[in-house]
Amino acid sequence: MSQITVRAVLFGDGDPAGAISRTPGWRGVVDRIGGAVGGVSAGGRQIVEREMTSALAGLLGLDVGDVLVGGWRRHRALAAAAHATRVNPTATEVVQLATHRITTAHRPYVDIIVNGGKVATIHFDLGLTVDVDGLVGTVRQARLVAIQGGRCTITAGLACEGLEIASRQAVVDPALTVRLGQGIALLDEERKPSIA
Amino acid sequence: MGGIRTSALRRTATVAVAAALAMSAPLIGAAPAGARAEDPPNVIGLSISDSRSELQNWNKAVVIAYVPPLESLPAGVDPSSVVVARSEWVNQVITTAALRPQFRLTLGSVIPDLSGLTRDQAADAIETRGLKFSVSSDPGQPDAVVASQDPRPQSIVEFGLGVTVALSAVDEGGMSTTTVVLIAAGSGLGLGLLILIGVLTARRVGRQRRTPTAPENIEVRAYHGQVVGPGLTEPGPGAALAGGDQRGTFAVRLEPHYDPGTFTLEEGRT
Repeated sequence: MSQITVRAVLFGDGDPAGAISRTPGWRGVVDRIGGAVGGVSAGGRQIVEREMTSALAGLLGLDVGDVLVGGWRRHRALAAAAHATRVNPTATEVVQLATHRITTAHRPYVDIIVNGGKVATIHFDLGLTVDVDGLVGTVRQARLVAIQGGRCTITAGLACEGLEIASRQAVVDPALTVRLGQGIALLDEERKPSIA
Repeated sequence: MGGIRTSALRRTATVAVAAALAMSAPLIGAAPAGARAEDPPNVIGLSISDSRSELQNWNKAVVIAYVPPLESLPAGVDPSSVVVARSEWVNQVITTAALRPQFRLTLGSVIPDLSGLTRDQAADAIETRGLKFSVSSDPGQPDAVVASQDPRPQSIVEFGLGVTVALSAVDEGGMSTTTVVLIAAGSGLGLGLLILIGVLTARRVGRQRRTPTAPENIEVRAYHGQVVGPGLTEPGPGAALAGGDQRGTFAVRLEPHYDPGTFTLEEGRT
């Protein structure tokens, strides 16, 4: 099972820095950066642009599976199943989830520092919306141990200082998106490490 | 007899010397007043009157002979344009304090600048100075003008010397071919200089670009920043998101209960 990141949703499997630099919106960002770092040489501005794309690409490593799990921990039916199965370890609860939406917003930023002095701060807006449809989850011992069926429609958008850089939508199988392992703890107290 | 013959010879010699002295009487006299020991002035290029004044100031007894004589100047020559072309002190070798200095001044003219004149204008300017006019090259156009001449302008030459000119055609703008060639050559030279300056400037700028100015330590620091969410939007019981599955959320819990079974022990009665 491979991890699905926002970077992969937005730019696929290619070089994200190169893909970012080729977007029309990024050219506008570069112009604004040029205004902010006007005292930097032409070669220095190229370095700034390259480092910016690399830093931004690093900020797009958000795992869509983690976002899904974070949303499901807030789902009332799953929480109820977790509590019920925690009391009765032998119990297994299968939950049919109605269509629901999980959203998250990240506002990363990048500081540009020249010769030890910060010359500019560039803000980004990363939005992620996942519409989950027809998912069946299995909860045991307060853990989500299996998911079946369903469909996740992911919509990701990236903007910088009000300029849209990229926006893309993808449909994935939630069973292939979330790494269950030994089961995902749905309750906060179950997630805390035990103290011997 | 012999004594009488010797005396006669002596008388003959005395008469001959006296006759010779008598023949040279105009050149011999008492020591001229104002005679000077310094060299005579250079009168080349001076007019007739100026040359005479200069020489007489040097020696008032000077004798001046003009070649050609002033009354025999070439026809059509303006005497005011005549200058001394050559000066010769005729009796300098034998002169003594009692001998009047004799000068032979050969007359001539100053070559005028003929450039830009037509053939007829140039010929007139030359011939009125007692010189001979000739043409070395002529494009055959009536409005051809003098492009070059030999001898050069302001040269001082004797009467009768030939002056040769080369004629060239005049272009539509009124300039001779030579002038056009000169202008074109000048323009080409200027253009070449501009190109050279441009190349040198470009190379200098290129070197400046290649030369790193001040080291720039550029660092880009990324921060994850504020995170909002994840948030969950779930429909109420029995409802669904628009366009989504209309089935509501429901759960089926399976709670297995282990039944250890019922054991019955019956012991035999004795």
